[in-house]
Amino acid sequence: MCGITAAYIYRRIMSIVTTGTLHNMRLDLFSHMQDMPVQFYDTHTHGELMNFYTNDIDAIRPLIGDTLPQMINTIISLVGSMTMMIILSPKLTLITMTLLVLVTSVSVFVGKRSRKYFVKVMRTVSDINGYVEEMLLGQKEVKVFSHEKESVKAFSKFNDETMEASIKSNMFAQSLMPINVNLSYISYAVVAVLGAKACIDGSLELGALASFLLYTRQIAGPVSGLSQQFNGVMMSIAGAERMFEVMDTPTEVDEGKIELVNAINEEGVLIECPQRTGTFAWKDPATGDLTELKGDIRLNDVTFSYVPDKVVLKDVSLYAKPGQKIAFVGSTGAGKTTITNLINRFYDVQEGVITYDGIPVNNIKKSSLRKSLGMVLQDTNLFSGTVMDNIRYGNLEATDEECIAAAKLANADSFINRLPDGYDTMLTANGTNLSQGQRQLLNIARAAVSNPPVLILDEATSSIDTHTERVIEKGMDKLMQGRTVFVIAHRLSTVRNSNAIMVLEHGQIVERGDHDDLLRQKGRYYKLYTGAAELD
Amino acid sequence: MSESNYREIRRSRANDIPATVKRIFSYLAQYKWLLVIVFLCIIIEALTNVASSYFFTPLINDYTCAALPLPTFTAG
Repeated sequence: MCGITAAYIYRRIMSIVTTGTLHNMRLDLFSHMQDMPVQFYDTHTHGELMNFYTNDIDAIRPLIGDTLPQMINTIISLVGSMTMMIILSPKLTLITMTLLVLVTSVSVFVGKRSRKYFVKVMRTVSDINGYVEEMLLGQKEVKVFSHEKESVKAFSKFNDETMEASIKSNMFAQSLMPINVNLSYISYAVVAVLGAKACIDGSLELGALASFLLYTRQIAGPVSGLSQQFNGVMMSIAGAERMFEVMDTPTEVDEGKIELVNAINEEGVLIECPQRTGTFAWKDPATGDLTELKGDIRLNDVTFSYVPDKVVLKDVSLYAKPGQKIAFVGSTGAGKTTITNLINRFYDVQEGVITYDGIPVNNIKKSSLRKSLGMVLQDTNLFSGTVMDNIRYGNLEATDEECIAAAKLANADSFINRLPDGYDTMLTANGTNLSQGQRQLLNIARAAVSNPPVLILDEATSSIDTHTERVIEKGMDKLMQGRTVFVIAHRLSTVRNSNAIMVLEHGQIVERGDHDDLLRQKGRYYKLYTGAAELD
Repeated sequence: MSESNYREIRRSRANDIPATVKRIFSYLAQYKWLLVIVFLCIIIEALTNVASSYFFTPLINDYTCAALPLPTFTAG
């Protein structure tokens, strides 16, 4: 009764401990991934990343919940049973221990062989998840290019590898239990025969032999039990290894110290204040000096490459004064988006310097830097929640009135009011119930509510028809007023009213000037504008 | 993405069982008092099992064998 109660209590407690531990692991993993550099997401598929939260973490459950208590139980039972066996018959104990060492050796040998296959199973399952995710997202492309057969062929290869690794791992692991069970039966039979002989000789009492045989079974039971859980343990360790490896990946380095703070301008003197005033300043914590946030961005002789020996930007120098609109034009791979990636420090420059209001961006805290930059990208990501929630994502402190004002500024207010529940309409699955143009208008509203002094528009209207583009451009024009704006666009009509247009080719600025200047130069821009040349 | 390209982006992974287990234990450390109770309960359960098996020794020697006439075994 005492044993049953104790078993009930520890199983209940272990259930709490296991669930709590997995909860904490998930939280640590998610928190760590929030601080990962952009390169990490560039080199891992969504399916692979999801696998860490599902298969890998869940695989750890049996190790903590089942194997760990059983292992402790086995050790205590072994010590207790061995002690009693030595008291009852040291000679028979020696024989039993010899056989037990044999059973353990077999387990260790098989374990080593099967473990590498379990690790391989986990990896190949992750490969499959990543591949399936890519194929599902790109299903239209697969069909358009008639790559169904190739897709199935590549999937079959991943699937075959998983099957092969599973067969090998299970072949080793599942052979372990029958081997152990049979060895324990042999051990039992040998002890029974020798014990019976000892009874006849009179060196062992019959009662002692009965207890001894029970102890022999008692030792074999937990050892066999552990071997049965061998598959689970190997999967657990393989899953934990993969998860911890991600958690060991270095997070984004940020040596910046200068912060963005709210400020108030009193008779030409900037004073830091806790409440939102609409005026921001850069604060150097070492000196306490405040520099007004204006939106002056300069690139001086910037050279950058994503991988060594493959220069993407070479000696690029440009400036954007507060309130100016700077456009980048060029072929795919010319380095347009790279410039914006460097401004918001998704990557750090290797040579040269980028300054923001005269401060090198490397000295500014990344969180502060990015807070001062608004981005509108071609691909819009909307989150599950109401329209209002999605707009407020740009500034979590924004009131409903500010969100509605931002929507009006972005020209999104009229279509939002036509939605069934207006601003309270629930959006699901990346807002698939909205058109591409409507999603982009929400994206602009989101950027507007964050009220950044610098705005980056990266192909914001590229995937939208010209009629919708005109509607969006009206919203964007209002958004751009009074801000420093970097525009990347394939359609030259969207950049013609820029203060300066940079024509990029192979990572270098080959032409610069406003629309009229560039037409007069009759160079690359002129050819593109007149249709004599096309962007790749 | 082709199968070969897909593999190119995969990184090699180091395997170290003791370090992995140690790290799992570091997560369990925050439940150390609950685990102490678990440990005590497991000791009670295991020792109860050990004691129950010894129960047969006095039962057979002192009661069963004492009550029955034992056969005489002779060699050969």
